[in-house]
Amino acid sequence: MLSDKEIYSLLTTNPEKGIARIMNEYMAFVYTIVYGKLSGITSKQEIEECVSDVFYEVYRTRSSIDLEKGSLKAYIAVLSKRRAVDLFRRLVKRVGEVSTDDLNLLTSGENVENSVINAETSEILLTEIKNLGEPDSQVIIRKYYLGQSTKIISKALGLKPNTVDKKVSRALVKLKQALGGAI
Amino acid sequence: MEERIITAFDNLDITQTERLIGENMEIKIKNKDRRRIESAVLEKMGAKKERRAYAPRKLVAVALAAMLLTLTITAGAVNEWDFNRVLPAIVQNLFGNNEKILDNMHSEIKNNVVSNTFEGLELEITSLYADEYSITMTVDVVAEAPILGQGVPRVNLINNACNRSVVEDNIGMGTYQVHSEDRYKITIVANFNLNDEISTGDSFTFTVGNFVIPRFNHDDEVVYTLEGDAEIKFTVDLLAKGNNINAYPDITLKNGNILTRVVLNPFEIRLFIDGREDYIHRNTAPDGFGYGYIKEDVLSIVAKNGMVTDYTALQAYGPVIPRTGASYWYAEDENVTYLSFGSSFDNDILFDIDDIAGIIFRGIEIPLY
Repeated sequence: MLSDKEIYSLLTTNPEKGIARIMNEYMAFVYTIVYGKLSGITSKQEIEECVSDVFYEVYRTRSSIDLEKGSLKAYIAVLSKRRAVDLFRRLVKRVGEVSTDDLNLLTSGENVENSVINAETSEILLTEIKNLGEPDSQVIIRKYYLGQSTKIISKALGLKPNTVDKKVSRALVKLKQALGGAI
Repeated sequence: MEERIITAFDNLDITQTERLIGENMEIKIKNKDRRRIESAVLEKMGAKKERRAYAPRKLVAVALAAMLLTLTITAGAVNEWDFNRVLPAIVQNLFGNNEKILDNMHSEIKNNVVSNTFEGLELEITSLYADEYSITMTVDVVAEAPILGQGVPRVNLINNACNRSVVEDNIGMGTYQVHSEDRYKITIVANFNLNDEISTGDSFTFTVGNFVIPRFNHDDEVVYTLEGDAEIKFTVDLLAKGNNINAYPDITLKNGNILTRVVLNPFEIRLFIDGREDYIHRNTAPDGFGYGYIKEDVLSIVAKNGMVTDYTALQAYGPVIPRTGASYWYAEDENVTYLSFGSSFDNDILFDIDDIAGIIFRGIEIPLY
């Protein structure tokens, strides 16, 4: 596997090859993030379009990538989240395209503006999630960051589905206690 | 609470995301979906005129770092007892920057050499390609005088110069093949199976250790050893267009076996099958080993002109160790990761990939184009 620097170097010297390499490396990862956010509320075609938008944006913004700030994977993850959230919001604006149930379950959307989650609070949340230990922290990350279903999580971690659900509810209680009113 | 966690996750910056994401969290993405997305990205970049439409075929993911490398061995006329006179010969690398990669060459006479005379000898690596599990190299050996001998000429790799382990005791013993009516030129196709899976971006370095020309008696061989620290290096690019085709059919066969992948290259077709017990059976250790053998299974290749050709499974790979030249394989266990049709055992089999429309295995058609 090429290092971030090598891929970045390829991306700048030969963008087409670079983006091909990045797609080969991170396609499943981007797809996972976008799918987790949009699955069930839009078509597969639109999800794929969003994934392709992410890679196109990586290509388009290649000159502003700063590996000092974080890994290429993290950069791509942030882009994926933002594109998926953008699309989610657009879908919300299309009347009737997203049910209220979906909104409640999948969150974000218009509620983002009303939820003041500042960087400090996010820091606390990240710390507390890590403090949950494994596999609980991974269960939470998979469920709420990647939007994975209980079935997928249970298969990936070798846990029974009801064990995953129990871990989620226990972790939420722990997080609520640890965070107090912070979130 | 849940909503707020998701909202927080939606708004993480790069540094925070870095702390959150781990390895192997992604879900699998179907190959056809991957290709369609790649196509869309290329279109947006203006690198491709038309978006690739969805098609039932599931091909590509090709591995080929094709390169052309010529090793020229210059030697004076030598007679049957005089092979050592070719030392030291100049071996010149004509690949890339023309740097000399091999400084010395000597021939080693093993057992009883019958006769031969070389005015000059040239080794040319005309193609080199890889899939995740093996590399295949085609080498032309061209001589100014007839190359006499019979049997299977072969090219070997030098073990310790190879930065990837090659399967089992075949390390350094790349195999086979090809007889030629033209005794001035022998084409050797050497296939090296790898212990470790390789993927895009991996580089692979090795040194051609020697090539061997058998004599009329299989016990008599001339071994040419190429010494030096020069390395042949290539980088695997699974996206590159090459001589292999991978198809991902995900088809359930009879008895619950699932055909997950087809690899087609000019010399063999491999079928990767999950649920393998139907395909290999264990002999009752006639000589102390557990022997595996494959049930007769026939693969039909459908050419674009409609012609159908049948092949019988010749090998099973995986934790199954092929015994050179034999039709049985002793196995560490009975798991077979793929069945091989064609294979390097039969030099006459050479598929023209462009002419293959698909295959039929156990009555199920799998389009490859």
